[in-house]
Amino acid sequence: MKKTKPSKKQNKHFISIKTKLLGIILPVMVFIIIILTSLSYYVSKRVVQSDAQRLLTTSVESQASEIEEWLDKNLASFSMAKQAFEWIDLNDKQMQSFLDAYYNFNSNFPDGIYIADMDGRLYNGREGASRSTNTVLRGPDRSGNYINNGNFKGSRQVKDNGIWQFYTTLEGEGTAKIQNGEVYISTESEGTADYSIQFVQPALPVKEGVTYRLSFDAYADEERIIKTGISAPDRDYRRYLEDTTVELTQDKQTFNYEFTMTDIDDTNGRLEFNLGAMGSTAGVHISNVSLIKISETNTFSKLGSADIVQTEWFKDALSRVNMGFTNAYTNENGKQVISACGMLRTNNKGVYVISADLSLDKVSVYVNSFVKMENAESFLVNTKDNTVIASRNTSLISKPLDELDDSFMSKAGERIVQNNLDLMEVDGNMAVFQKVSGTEWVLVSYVPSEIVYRDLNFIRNIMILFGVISTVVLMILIERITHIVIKPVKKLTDIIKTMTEGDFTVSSHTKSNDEIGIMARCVEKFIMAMSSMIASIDGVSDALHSQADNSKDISEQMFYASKEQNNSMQELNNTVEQLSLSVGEIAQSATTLAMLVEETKDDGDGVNCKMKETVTVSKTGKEAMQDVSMAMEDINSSVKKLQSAIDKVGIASEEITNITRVIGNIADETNLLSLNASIEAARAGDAGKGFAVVAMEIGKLAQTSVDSVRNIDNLVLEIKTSVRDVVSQACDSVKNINNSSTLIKNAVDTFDTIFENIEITGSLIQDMMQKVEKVEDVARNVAVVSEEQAASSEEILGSSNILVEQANNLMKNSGTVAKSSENLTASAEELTTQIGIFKIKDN
Amino acid sequence: MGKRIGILFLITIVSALFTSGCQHKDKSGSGSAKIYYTTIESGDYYESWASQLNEYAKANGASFEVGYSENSVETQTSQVKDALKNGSNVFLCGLVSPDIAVEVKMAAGDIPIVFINNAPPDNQLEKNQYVYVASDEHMAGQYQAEYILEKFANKEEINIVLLKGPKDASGTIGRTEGLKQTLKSSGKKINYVFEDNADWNEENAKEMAELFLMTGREADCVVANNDDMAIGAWTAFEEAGKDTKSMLFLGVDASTKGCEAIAAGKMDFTVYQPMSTQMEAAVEAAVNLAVGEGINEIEGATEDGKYILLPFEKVDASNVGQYQ
Repeated sequence: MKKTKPSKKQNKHFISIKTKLLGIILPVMVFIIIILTSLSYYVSKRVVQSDAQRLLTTSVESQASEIEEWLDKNLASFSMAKQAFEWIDLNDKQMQSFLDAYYNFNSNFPDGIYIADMDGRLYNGREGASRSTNTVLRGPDRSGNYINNGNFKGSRQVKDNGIWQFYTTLEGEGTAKIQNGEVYISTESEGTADYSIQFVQPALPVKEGVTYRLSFDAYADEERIIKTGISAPDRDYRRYLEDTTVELTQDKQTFNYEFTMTDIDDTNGRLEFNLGAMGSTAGVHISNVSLIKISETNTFSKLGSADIVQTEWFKDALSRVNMGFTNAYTNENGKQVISACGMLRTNNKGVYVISADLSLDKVSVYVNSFVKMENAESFLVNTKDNTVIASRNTSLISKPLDELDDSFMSKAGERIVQNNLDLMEVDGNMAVFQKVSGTEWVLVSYVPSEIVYRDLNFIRNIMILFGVISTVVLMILIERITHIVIKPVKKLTDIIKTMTEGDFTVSSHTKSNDEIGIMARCVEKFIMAMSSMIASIDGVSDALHSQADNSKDISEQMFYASKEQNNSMQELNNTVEQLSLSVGEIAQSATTLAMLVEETKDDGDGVNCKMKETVTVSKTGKEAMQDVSMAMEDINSSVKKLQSAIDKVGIASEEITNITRVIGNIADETNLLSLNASIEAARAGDAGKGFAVVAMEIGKLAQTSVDSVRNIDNLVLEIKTSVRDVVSQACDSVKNINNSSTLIKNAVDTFDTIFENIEITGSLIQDMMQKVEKVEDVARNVAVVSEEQAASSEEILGSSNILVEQANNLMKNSGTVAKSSENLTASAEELTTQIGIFKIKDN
Repeated sequence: MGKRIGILFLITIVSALFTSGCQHKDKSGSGSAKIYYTTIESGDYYESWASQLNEYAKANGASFEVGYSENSVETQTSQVKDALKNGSNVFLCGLVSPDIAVEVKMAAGDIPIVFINNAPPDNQLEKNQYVYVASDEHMAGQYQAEYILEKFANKEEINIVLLKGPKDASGTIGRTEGLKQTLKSSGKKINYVFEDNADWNEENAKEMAELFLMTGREADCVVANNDDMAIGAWTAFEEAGKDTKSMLFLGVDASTKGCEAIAAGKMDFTVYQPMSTQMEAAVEAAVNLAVGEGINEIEGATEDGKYILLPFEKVDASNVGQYQ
């Protein structure tokens, strides 16, 4: 119990070394990993952030310088042109061809350069003009008609050459014939296209800016439609007069159509009448064809004069001499442009403005496509009025930033207004500003912060993953290492625990060569030592146990024997008492007899008178003698009984003596065993202490047993002698009584003879008297003997009492011995159980 | 193995260079400053700079040498290299072009440079090593704008003819920016009816003003980045018979001609560019840097230690006498 209590307490607060180690190492490790991970995350964040800033800044700087370079390059070429204009004093025509030369000269300003004056006159280059500047247009006839032979003089079949020409194609079949001032076109097959049957006059001169009227008379054999138009075979058959449907009836009608030549001059206009696939093959009559000039307009002004001086570029140009750029605006062709413009130095010949439209497409390319950072976007802002010049979202162009719905854009606008062009991080965007030098433009480049931090988030996730994995791996590793290191200790602990519970069958054999290994080996040694010791104690205890059992059986037997003896003694005692009583009665009777004999003798003296009395007395005497005789017989049997009882006592005593001798021997052996046990217990040390006490007790009991046995022996010896005395006395008494009995019989017989002879013999009385005297002596002797006998009986009684007492003592002692034996057995049993707790290997 | 030896060799060389550099510095640190001034070109303007700088250098106990690069990048860098060989321990440098700041720095090795006359890009400056001494150009423009706003306090709309210096000149950019920003923040409607680079030149300015006058537009004032251009414009307006009295003519520099023009009632306002204080500060900065001290103590030094910016002074008819 003492051992289990603390172990229970230990269990309550039991924390294994492993738990303790892990409890310390794991949190520290996790803490360190967290610190390391967050530190590297922080560092990466800083690096990523500054990298992104640098990249964005570099990107926007390079974009800005690209734009700047591009603008400078263009400005330089404009300035060269401008200088040329200023140096060479050109007339209108020369200026026109100069401007034409610039048309489509450079893809950046496809419309070339144009010059305007304060009166709103505009000189600009024209498409293709540079290739046909010396076009000579033939004039009209005297009536102003540009059509040759419009009134169809003569009579002939029209072929595919000549002034008028007739063509059939694409399954069209027909003929045309000039006669009677008209041409008649008959159709046999209308063909598959409207120009399958075609009547034309080529080489018509058409002048740019001139409005012409085409007129002719026509009718058909049946109502039908034809088409007419003026085309340009040299210019992909484009139409100067669009194809027009003419509805003909059987009555002659005059048709008039007007058009303005918008293209540059063409010597090869072509009047067409198409009679092909239009649902009819009716013959057509055409006459009086004319093309006359109605009006001619100034070729230079596309725009009204008032419009030009109000244009963005014109107004802007007036504010400088060196060419500079206007704001972005939409030009008359609907294109987003900026204009490079300035005043010409004209030596006081008036104010001329030179300008060229630069398409913003190219700027947009720089702004939108030259972003060097992934997912970054830029837009270009003119700080003059905070409008957008270029942006990926083209709808924003020309719009002021502060009017945009986009809060990021408006905030960027605010920053530009405040002239605070530092890095800005707002609305989830990181933005940098860069002035485009030489202009008032600011390029804003921005990238969603989340893009910047996307890699960072990736890094963070990787780090968290790494942290978790390494934590888990380290945890498992440390747990395993601790487990392996602690395992022998745990094993050893289990072994010691088992040992504590008394089981020494375990083994702590180990190959380990560390401290734990040494510990295990020591424990192994201890187990072996303990096993051998317990084994020897166990042997001793077994022997002790069997001996104690023996001693118990014997003492029990002894106890029962002494009990029997005791009973016998009691009976003896009772017998002796009766005997004593009987002897007393005998003595009394003998005394009474003596007194009676005396009286008889006294009475004998009075012979005559007293005969009668004598007879009665004799009668009485006879009866008394009979009684005596009976009593004597009784005594005789009593004595005989006594004798046999005493004999029995003798035998019992002899048996007791034998038993006590056996007990003595056992006690001696027990004593010897206890001595051995004590020695073994002493060898067992503290563990044997309890056992030593038991052994000692056993020793003491054995000693007591020996003493008791010795006492019993003595007592039995005394009893024996007393019994022998009693026996001899009793024998004497028997002899005496037998004698008395014979005498009494004789006396009775005598009495009978007396009684019979009284009346007859008087003389005999004397004899009788003498004889009475003798009787008196005998009676006296009897009395004395009886008294002596009584005294002897008393003595026997006393001895018998003492014997009974001794027997009681013996019985008691036997009980004590039995009890001690029981104790001894119990002790031996306890010893066995205690030893039984220890388990050892069976060797 | 060969790699390791190579690395070892490299380390030895680098450390040798480093120590030699240190020795060099120590040598110079013990003595006084040896200033070498390399500037854009010869001619009155820069030669007067050189002579005045020389005086300030003497006053500071420093030696002084000068070289004119004649607008050649090569000349300027070779001058710097030669001066380095001859033991100069600090440079005053008027860059031929802002773009060659890197080249000049390379040529100068680890010798500090005080830039004057022409501003290098901001990112080429370094605290207490490469510093720029200049007037606060921004302030000149700001003063002009403030004068205009004061005179036209009642006007809601101001038409300005702006004549600027060369496109990339730091003076042009700073003065124009200062002017425009101040005007913009006034909230008035500012129309730049004419704005062009007349390149500091009076004739150019006159011609441009003439052209402007031909456009028939109205102008309330002429603002020029320097006095010469303002005078040129004034001449053009005067010749065109315009009422120049009712207009403002503003310049910068308070040059002799400018001050005369103000005294004569032609020009209305200019700002004085304190050349002498600039030179004084430049020499002081050079001496400080030569002996390894900072420029923080010098008046006008910015917090980042990269600039010494010296204030302008306002000059108009009331105080023009002081500057003549």
